[in-house]
Amino acid sequence: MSSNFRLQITNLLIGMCRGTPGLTAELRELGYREQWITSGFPRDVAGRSHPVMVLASRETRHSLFVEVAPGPRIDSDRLLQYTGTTAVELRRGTNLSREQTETYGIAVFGLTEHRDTLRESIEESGVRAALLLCDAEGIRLDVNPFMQAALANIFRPLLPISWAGVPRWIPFDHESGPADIAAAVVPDVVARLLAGETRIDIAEVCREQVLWKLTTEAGKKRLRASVRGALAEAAGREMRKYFSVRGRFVEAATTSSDDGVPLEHRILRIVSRRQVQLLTRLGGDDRNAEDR
Amino acid sequence: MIARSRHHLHDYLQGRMTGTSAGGTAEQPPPGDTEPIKTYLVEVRGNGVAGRDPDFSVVKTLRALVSEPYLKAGFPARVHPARERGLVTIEGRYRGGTPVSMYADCRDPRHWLIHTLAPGRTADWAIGRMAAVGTRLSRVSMPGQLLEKLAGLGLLEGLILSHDRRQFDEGGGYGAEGFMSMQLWGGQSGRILSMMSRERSLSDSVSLSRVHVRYWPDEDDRAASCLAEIDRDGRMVTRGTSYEGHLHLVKVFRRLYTRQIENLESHFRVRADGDAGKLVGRCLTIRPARPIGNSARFCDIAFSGTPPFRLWGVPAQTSGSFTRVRALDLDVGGALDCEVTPEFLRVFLLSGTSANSVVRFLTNLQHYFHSGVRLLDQDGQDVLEL
Repeated sequence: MSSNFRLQITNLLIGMCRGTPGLTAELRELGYREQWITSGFPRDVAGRSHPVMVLASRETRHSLFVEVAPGPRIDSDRLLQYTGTTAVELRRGTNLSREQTETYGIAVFGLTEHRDTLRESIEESGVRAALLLCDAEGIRLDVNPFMQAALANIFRPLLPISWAGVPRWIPFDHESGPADIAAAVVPDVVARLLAGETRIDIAEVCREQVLWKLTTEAGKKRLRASVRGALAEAAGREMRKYFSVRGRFVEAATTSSDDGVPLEHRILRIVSRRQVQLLTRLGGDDRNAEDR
Repeated sequence: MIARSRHHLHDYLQGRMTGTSAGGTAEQPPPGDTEPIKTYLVEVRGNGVAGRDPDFSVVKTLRALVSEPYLKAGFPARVHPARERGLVTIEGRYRGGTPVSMYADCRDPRHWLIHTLAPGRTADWAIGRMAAVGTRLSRVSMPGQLLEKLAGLGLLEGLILSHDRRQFDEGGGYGAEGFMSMQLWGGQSGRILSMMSRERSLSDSVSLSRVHVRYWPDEDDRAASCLAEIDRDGRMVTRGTSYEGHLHLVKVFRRLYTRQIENLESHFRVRADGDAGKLVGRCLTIRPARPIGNSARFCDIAFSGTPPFRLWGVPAQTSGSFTRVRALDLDVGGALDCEVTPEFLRVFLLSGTSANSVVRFLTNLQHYFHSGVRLLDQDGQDVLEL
């Protein structure tokens, strides 16, 4: 599994809701579609950097709030925010419809190695959240099965998952490793430099990412910092000849700058090699983790 | 001839095709304009910005294109806007030869038609330079499914097949079974194409590159017809006696292409609707008729940035059989996120990227990997056949 377990689960669920090839279509066939709640959630956790993800279905008249626990425990406040909310409040604060909020439940996705502690923390919270445990083989429904048998059966006895092949609807978020961020944003910067831009606002690069409009304000702030960090890493070594990072801008190298080379189509082969070196340097751990 | 209006251009081209002037008298063609009518469908990036005079932008774009140093050296040209909006004449001389004119009909801000009577070599070279890497203009691509649809507009009187997958073959690709090129003439071409497509040993190499379509605008008047050669790169060359027929085919050609591009972009472009809290867009699947095999090697070739694919990216192999790459389209701009497995490719059309990138990728895969490559939606339906 990837080091960014939360994003991997998010991408997996998006893929399952959208009929992505290589994944089971059962969730989609039950009518579930993913939705994000960035603000306005009635019992919001202060300063959250992740939006609430909900899988909602008109067909089954059900919504499933998704919580991902990369660590051994889950914060009970996160679970209580759902149970302390009425359907009316939920509809008022979000875009969910009456049919979708007729019934709702909570799913906690965690790692099998944390099974005991996750079970404990769910029990302590007093919330009847379904626990779904993930390991190299796939996902298993552990305790508190969903009321909807068809939904529960997707994860029973095991939903086999090839983690390396989970689609990346969202290529990275603010918790992703620098290699994953660089793999997405360095090509974006290269494209702009090839198009003749000489000064690129990093905030603009961020705004073009799929996640931008779906995340919280705190998430955006952290995303900007992560993107800037990845670009600064690239500009500090492998891409030094082609661009630099100054403040909130990426600046194109010019022939007049020290050792600078304007980025052009004819040198893309060299840029490819440098990008490979960059990703190898930044991502050794991430990539090995994904192979496991 | 410098076009003053579409009506003026219409009369001129009709006269040249039928050999008569607008007044009905026989007319000697001016030097340089002695060839059949050629029309190129091209895509323009970033044109038609709201709130600006579209003509200003069209003329500015064309002036920038013809002032590209290499083009200017071989084809010094001047740009003349017509009185009517969105119509521009490019008048130039290829390597000091006879002057020729090209007429850019830019009524559609994104998909322009460029008509010319210039010799094929001159027109191909000039349009090719204008649509070179790094410019705002690019050629379109017609996968086999779309060419077959166009062939269905009239009588198929010939076709060209071209396929060359040798670069993807393991071990250097010197085997002669890795390529096939063929030209067929006559009314039985369609039948032979069907037979070849059904023959399992040949079906991987039957990649349609050009169709020759005979079209009669008036079924009762068989004397007025045209024969159009429609190429997969958006070029149509027409001979015959019916300019109306040519115009009809050109309009259908553009409409079909534009509709496919718009359909792909509206349904499949991945973007976020922040207000609704939803991700919009779908994943496209490119399904080859035979397994990709070595996905790393496949990616090294397809995303090297070189022709014919002109997609650049650094593939990251996440497992033995799975590779991801963010691929920049060096031709049109924009990027595709591709995930390659032995059985299929997932393609995410990113915000700001033209669907032309997907269609060109598909067309190239049909010609350089396997002719049976298809573009599918989330339900496994062929997107281009919807």
